[in-house]
Amino acid sequence: MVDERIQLITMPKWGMTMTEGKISAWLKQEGETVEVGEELVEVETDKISNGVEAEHSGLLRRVLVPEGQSARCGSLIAIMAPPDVADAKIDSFLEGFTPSEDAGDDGAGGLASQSIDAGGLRLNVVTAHGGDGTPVVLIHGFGADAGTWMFNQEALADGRDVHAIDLPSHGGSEVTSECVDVASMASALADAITAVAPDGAYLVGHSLGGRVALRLATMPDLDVKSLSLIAPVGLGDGINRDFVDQFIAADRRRPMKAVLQMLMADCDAVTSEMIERTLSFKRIDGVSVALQAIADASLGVDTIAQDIDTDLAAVNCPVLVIWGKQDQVLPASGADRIRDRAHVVLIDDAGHMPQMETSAEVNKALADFIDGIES
Amino acid sequence: MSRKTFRAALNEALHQEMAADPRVVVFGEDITGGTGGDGEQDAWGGAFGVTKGLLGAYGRERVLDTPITESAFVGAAAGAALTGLRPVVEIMFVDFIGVCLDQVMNQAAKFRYMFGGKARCPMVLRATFGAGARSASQHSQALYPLFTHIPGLKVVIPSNPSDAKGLLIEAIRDDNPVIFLEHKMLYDEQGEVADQPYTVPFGEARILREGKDATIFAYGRMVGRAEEAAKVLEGEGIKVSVIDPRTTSPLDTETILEFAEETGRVIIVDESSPRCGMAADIAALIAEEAFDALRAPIFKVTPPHTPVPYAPSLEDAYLPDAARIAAAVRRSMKHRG
Repeated sequence: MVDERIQLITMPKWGMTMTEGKISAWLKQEGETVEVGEELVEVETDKISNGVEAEHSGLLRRVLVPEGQSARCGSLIAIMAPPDVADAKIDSFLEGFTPSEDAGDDGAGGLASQSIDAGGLRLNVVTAHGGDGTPVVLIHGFGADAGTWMFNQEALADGRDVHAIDLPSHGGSEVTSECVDVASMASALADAITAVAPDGAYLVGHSLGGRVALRLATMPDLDVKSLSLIAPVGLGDGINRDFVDQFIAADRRRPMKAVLQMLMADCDAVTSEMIERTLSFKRIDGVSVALQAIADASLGVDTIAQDIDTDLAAVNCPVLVIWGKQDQVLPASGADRIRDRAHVVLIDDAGHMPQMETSAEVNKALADFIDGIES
Repeated sequence: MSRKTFRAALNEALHQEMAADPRVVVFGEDITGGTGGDGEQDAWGGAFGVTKGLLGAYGRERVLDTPITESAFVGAAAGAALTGLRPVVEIMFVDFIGVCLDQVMNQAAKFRYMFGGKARCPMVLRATFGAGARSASQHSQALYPLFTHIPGLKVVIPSNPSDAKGLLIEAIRDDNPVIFLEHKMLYDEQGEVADQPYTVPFGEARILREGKDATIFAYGRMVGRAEEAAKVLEGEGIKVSVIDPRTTSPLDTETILEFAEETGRVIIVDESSPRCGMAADIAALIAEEAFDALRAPIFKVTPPHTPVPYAPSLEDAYLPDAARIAAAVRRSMKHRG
């Protein structure tokens, strides 16, 4: 019988290719109290280095993997428990603990990707399996891909599957210059969502993906249980044109770095890996043309706010809005547009990518919101 | 995106470019295999299997087995390129360039310049290079400095499957002669490679890791060894950057100087011979342009100035390895500059 107050801290899995991570530093020591959202440990892989934020508040009782050592994704690295859980109880828990084999040798761990035919267009869906509950569907923003959810997808897959869909011409989805406006992207995604979540889903969309999610929530054939919008396109006044234009123009490392820094509250959060990954995506045949077409059709001066009032009026499900206060691409004031009918969470230390920069806070806000609907 | 070998990534690049552009033709020795005999056609796909399956998809018109005459088929490729095709020729071992160097050095490399910019020679010369395969001194050289020395040629050295595909597509689409060098010990290396066609531009270095203490520059197979060394050094508290310039011509001098200046300590790993090699070339660039930022002498890690030995133990000793690279970084760190 496991004491429910014992919380397991496991090695996170950031994206499809991560199989293990190295503890570069414990930022909290045994016996220290940790608040939710506080950085607990710093983990690095060959590609990325990032702080792991506490998902719950509590007392750090045991550090099981010392600094400098590596552990497989999903393996136990620390234990948190309130002070009144006896040491002996933790010891006996550890003795009886069998490490999960989830992060197997296939390298994909809990993430699996599949290609779905969405009305003749091939869309890539990355799934974190978590159970039979109503699934969550994640929709990324302009120029990104399912990897934008690397710090969220598995955390949310608690009792439910979490599907991250690559927008048309993004990530592993088919490149096309046809499917570029909000209506046609939403229509393609609706097919994919119906395929992976036939009994309804909680939608989460970031930036342009938020705008697409908003449209999806108005579609009568789709059972959208709730809508979570992270810095969505369309609510505020326009968009930072410099970001859009320079993102499309940047074809080398240096200009791309400057563009990606606009996304973050903390400039140093932009790594070489992110720059390389973004450039690699843009260098796929047809992607630059498709991005320009999407920018014109969905992010242009005349197109960005198109149908926004109609769509907002047509949404019946509960709505959550999350916005970074330091967003330089779409200012957080956009949240005011929907404040009367949505639960709004503003985050101090985040720019346009709160799901990456302040993942624990975003994960908690999303989980609480969904739990609130289910209870 | 899926895991592919270096060999499969190159094969995919050839397939996709041949499918997209009918001007792309492929020829070389045994690149299909079985030609002229009663046996299986496309039995070989080249000595290293890179061109396998092209014959079935594109036919003998575009996929040609040649006689063992590099001088003839490399010259033919240069001529074909001038007249509008985009040939990709395979030289089984770069060491064989000796018999067709005139076609490369005096003809292909010079056409555009000699004809006042009016002629284009979009030819790719693929060749294997490098030691480690127990193939002795006439099949193991890393001759990229030879080509880098010649204006008019672009020289590409991929170090991983993803770059291999993107750089080869870039090479095929380039309007100039490109020498594309594949380290024969990398063919079975695996990595994530996008399924769609994509390019990696020439003259842009890849930053594999960023550390503030020192920078290691490395090409081809040496990139993996530099990474190994970096991991060992990290355990000792030394954080190094590892940079793969990807091409020797053009050379990403901007990134090289940026990292030399940021870290002040430079180690260059080069599988070619030490005299007039890439290590010497990059060292000269840094000494001239970033001298004031240097905190230690520039260290070159190269083989000795000898032919590649055939005896396995000597061949292993000949090649720079992670231990030698790490030792050079430690020596650099001892300078308090």
